[in-house]
Amino acid sequence: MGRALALLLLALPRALAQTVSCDAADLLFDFSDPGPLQTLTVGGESYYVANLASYLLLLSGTSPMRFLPTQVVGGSGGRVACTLTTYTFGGFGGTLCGAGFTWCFRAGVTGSLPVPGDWGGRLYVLVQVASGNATSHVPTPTLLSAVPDGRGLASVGPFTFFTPAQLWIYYFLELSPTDAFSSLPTQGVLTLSYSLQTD
Amino acid sequence: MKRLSPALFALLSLALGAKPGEVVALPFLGLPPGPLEVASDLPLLLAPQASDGGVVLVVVEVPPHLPPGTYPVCLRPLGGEALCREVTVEALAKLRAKVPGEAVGGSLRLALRNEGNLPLRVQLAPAEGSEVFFPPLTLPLLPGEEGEAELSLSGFGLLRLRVASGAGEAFYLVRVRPEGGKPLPYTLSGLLEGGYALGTGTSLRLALEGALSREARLALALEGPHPSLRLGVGTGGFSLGFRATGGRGVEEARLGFREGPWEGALGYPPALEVGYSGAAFYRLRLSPEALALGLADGTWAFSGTLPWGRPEGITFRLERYGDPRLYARWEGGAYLGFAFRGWEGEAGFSPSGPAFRLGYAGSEGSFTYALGVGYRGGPTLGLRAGYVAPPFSLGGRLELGPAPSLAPFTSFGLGVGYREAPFALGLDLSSSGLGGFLEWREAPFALRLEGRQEATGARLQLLGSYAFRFPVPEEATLALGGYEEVPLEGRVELLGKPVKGARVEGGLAPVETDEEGRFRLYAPRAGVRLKALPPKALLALPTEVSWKPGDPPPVLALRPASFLRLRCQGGGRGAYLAGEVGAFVPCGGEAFLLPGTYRLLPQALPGFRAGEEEVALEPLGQREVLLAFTPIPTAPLPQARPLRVEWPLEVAPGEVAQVRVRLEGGSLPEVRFSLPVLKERREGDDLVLLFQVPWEARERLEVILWAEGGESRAFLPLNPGKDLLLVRLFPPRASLGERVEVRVETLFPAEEVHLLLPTGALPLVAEGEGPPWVFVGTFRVEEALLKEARSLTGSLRALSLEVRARQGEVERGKEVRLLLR
Repeated sequence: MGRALALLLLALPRALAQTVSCDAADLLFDFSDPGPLQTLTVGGESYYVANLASYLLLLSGTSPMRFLPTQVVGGSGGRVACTLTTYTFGGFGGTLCGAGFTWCFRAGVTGSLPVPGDWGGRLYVLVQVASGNATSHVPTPTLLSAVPDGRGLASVGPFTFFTPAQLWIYYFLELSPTDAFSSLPTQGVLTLSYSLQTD
Repeated sequence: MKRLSPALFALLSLALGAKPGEVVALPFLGLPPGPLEVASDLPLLLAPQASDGGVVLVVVEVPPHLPPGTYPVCLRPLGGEALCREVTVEALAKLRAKVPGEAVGGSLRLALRNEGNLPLRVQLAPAEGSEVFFPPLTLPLLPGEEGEAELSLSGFGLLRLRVASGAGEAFYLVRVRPEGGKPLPYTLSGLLEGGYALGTGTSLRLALEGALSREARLALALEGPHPSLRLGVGTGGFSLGFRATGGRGVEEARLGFREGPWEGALGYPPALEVGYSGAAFYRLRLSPEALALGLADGTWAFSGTLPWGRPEGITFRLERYGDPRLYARWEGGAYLGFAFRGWEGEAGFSPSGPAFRLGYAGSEGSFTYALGVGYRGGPTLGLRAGYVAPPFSLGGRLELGPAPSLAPFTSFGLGVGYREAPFALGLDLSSSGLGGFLEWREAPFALRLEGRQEATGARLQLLGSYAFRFPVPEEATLALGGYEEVPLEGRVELLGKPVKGARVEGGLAPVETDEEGRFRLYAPRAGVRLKALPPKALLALPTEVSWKPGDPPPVLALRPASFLRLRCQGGGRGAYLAGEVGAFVPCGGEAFLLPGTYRLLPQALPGFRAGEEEVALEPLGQREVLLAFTPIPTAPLPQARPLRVEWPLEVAPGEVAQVRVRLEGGSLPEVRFSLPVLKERREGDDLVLLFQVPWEARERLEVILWAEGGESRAFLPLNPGKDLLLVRLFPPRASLGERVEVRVETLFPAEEVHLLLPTGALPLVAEGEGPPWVFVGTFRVEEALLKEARSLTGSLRALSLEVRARQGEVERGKEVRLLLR
């Protein structure tokens, strides 16, 4: 209903405010979850959902695997759905993301995952434009920290107030069977925040 | 050493750069043999006493908080001239912040520590998008200094905290909850905006949006100077909204419905929209002008529009996301495109002829670039590059290619930006004109001046906004459908009287009862198990009740307790209490107990004894019991000696347990035991008796041991859940044809043990004498077993096996899982 109502106010001209409305803010990766093996197809490839069964599968192999979150808290289908409404030009800057008069959609991630090293070097992202006037800069799974132009995920708008853009964002965590973990099976939560920026 | 080249010598003489906290080794050359004196501003880890004429190493440590600068380290031979090397300590700005993830009430404490070697001014402020605010704060911190900040918060929800200092900028998310176990209030977000633009005059807008309850939402906007109203309300799955303008009435309207994954809407001007959002997202929009369809499923995406009056204006786009990304589109012309690891390209036929482009984009640190070549009625070339060095950013773009007239055409642009909160500034010079903006943004206020000079004229406007939020009052939310949790009122009493200050748990947060014993909390809609804990100094025991919606208000009746204080005279340890509950109370100790009659079984120190007593405890009654321990007369029992018995802490039905007996300073005692003794052995001065707990024993087991020194009696707590079988498989993960060893240890004297395989029972062979009793066997992983295994993962299967151990008529089992590759 929230999304439906957001549509009602699409034509609200806000000079300084753009709207990002996402259905989920937390990603839970729990490799001790006892659920059965589950796979989801994203970007033409099958990915396992993080749980104990998929973790055992990782251990039975020799190559690294990428896992979808055990739970996208609030979301469904292993993804975060964001509705983006822009009321004005972006403008002034943006080399790849937010170029011209578009807005740049960026993500901030905080939280912890007890994995060896920095989890930032293991988190991959893919953004699909489900509807609306937006261009994904990560149509293939890409290391979040290596997304160019300051992690610019997508360029949006301008003026998407008649048809707000809807983006689907998929996150993947890469683990290797040779990783030495301090405690296993491991689990952690990442909290996401999003913003629309002019450059 | 004298053969060192002059180049190497020069290299060794250079000042060394070091980071705070590092250890640096400094080689010294050319010192004459003999004793040395060291003079250093840096702490020495390795100081040479003498030189042998070769390379002399000095190892120093750079303290973590040492200010940046150059620090000399000198070696002086006796009577000679000092030789110095310099260590240049780099500047390091580093801040560590400890921010809790959740805060309750109106304040938040956080700890900060300057871990670098530069003084820092730490600025704390709410970041953009924060639902909770506080007055910005600046905290100076010297190197190594720790500081604490207490923020006075207004509002509830998600606080986006910005911590900025010379060490950079970091953002933290903190969930702020109200006190007293109340749910997070729903909030309405408001935005008040005003603007003045040259030529068009002033404008004013007020917008208010948010949820009022779990079922109702409101969205309202008022605009001027031409009066205009937008209103949206929603309840349950329905939503209704319209836009009305003074003089023209309703211009736009929309009636929406959402049920599970389905959503639909009827609009004015006439349009019908239907959407389904499950594993994939489908949408359809039908209007008198056009039909639009859409699909997305994580890999594929399709969108298309068919204008009824102009079928040739049909457009569609089919995309495949993944590695590589591919797409086909028909938008005025037909195009095919791809994207792969930074490369992207497209080729097709546009109405004006063939077109193609190929580009590459990437970044190196703060530098981002994009290059593209193509053909669009003539060759095209595009270059874009940006460099960010906070707070500055610089970007340029250049495009060469044919204009619509096919004459050579160049477009260029150059932009500079400056962003240092709360200010932002941007200037953009391009072939189409000059534009710029100046912005000041300090939540909840923002001010922006922007202007643009183009061939068609100039535009200048000033915009200001104020964002606010206010919580929806609890009463309003409850009247409009309530929270995700339901308010629940109840009472706590003791023997029919209200209890003040009792703590009730189970809701969003623990609450306390008032004078009348009443409490109010928020409970999950599915129901809750409530627990009431008596206040201190009340002779009562906790109680629990279950409650679900539809039930009458819960009344938690605390169970009255009794209080017993044990005083001892003479040599006593305390007493076991046997009655409603069993407990040990030491001398001078106190116990809260259920009312009832208890037998006191005195526990004397060696050489003392006391008689058993019975004590009746009234509800809410307090009793003090005096136990008189008297010395055991030695004359009639000259052989009596102190007896020490170590009982097991806990036993399981059927378990073989041991009791250790020692007769202080004496020979092996003659003992009798209240249960059959399985085995008896001597360990030093101790006698160890093994006995089996009867299989039928429940709750507690009373055991008595008699010896020359007296008798010892104990109530052993029983744990029926204790595992009496331990099963090991080696290897734990096996392949087809591999042999697996099964090793079972039982804590009771099993007579036979079997491993139940899908192909039949495998008897295991006993090994040695217990306890523990060990049984071993092996089997081979055969095809028949593999067939019975359940698939766990693609290549990994799990075979469930059961081990059964029997003693007489009693049988105990345990399931184990063998992983098969």
